Amino acid sequence: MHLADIDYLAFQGNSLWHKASALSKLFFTLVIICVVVISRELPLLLFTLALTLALLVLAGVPLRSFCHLLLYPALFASIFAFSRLGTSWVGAALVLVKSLTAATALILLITTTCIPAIFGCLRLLLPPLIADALLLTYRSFFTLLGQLGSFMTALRLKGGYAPLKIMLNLRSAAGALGVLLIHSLEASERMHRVLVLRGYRPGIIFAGKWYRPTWYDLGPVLGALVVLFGAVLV
Amino acid sequence: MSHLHIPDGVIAPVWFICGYLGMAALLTLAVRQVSREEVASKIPRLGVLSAFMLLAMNIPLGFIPTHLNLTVLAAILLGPWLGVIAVFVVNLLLALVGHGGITVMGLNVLVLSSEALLGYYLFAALRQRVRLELATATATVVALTASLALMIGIVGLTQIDLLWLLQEHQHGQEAETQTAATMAPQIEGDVQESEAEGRHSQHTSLNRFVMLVVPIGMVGIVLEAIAVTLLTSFILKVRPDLIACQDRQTEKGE
Repeated sequence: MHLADIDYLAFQGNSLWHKASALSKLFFTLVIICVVVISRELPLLLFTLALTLALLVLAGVPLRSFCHLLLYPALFASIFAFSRLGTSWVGAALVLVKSLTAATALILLITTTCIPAIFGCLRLLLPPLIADALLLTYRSFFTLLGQLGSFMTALRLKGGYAPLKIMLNLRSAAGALGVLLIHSLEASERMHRVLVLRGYRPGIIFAGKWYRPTWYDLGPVLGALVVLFGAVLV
Repeated sequence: MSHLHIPDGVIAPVWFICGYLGMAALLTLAVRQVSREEVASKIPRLGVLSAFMLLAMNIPLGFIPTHLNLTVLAAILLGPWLGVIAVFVVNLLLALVGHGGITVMGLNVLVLSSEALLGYYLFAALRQRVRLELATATATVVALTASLALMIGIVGLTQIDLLWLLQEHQHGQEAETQTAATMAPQIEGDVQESEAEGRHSQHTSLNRFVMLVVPIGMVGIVLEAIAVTLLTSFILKVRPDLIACQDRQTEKGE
């Protein structure tokens, strides 16, 4: 999933797209998704895909490192297209381009926007409890990722992982996960004590400013309008 | 295992809107149920376990094209309703990185929530009657099989829209070359023929889909059942107080 790399890119990137607010980029992504859902015109979808890919490159996202994130939905789209559309290449191409366009738009969003900022926007729609859970999950993910990395290295070094031995892998993975799970649950108990000490109530984590419009917002808004204009024309 | 990898833009809006509405109703119910419990004490555990589910998905299982989900484990450790919220959180993060379309997220949450709810209640029912390993394995296998069936059912239900999508596209191209007047006499015969063809191709394509998904799904279910059973028995040995069913029973006893 490479969430750590995505997070690094989103925080360290300095492109114009990075500087735009999360809300404007969410608007752009929503427009792309709507076009993907509604449109059945291959040229428009190809144009939208080209635009989002160009924006990814302009935003300084290394495509070579992230192309697997695009290949993943493409792989499932091709299985789906094969199983459901038979021999029609137009239908198969449509399914493939649609999935790639939507995935590219989402990757553009998350590689150029700090995820807590996206959660900040989503909290307008979500109950405070879930908004808090999102942020705590994200925070815990990075804590656990470091520990899992050490566990996996230790497993490989001690011969606990072999690509062709599924049972061995499963037993080793379950052992590593078991220890990690106990550690993480104990960490969650410590976190609980901290929250109680600070007078936690649902929604308190996201208190404060979450959106400031800037001139950089014009980029995503104009991009969305171009795609919408194209959709209306076609 | 049983989450939909259907790409965006393939199923008709009516289906994913239904999915989102169902998800909203389920989440509202879940949040209301959880509010009765001590939210502050469960939220950190919810965050950690959701992160743990995300991490488990990243563990390579060799050459098998599947990954662990640990939905049933999360439900056993968090309780059914917090399990549903964990499913939502994990699915949202997955959808953001393109793992499963964002439009099918509602349907995904419904499918995986059924796994969490069924897994939890089965585990709670079997826990006192059979050995822990058997209770966990049975609950996981039954819950995952049910969710796999639900996923196939959803694909079957939404199938007609994909053919419609293709036909619409072809009709759009035809319309540019033929006038309405020349097409009129053909319409009646064409409709009957295409309906019969459509039904046949739907059936064939669903069969093909089932043949692709079921073998991978069955392997995934077996692997998940083994992993969840090993993890649950490990937790029971080290920290039995962490099992959600155990909490309830202790509370009732008190």
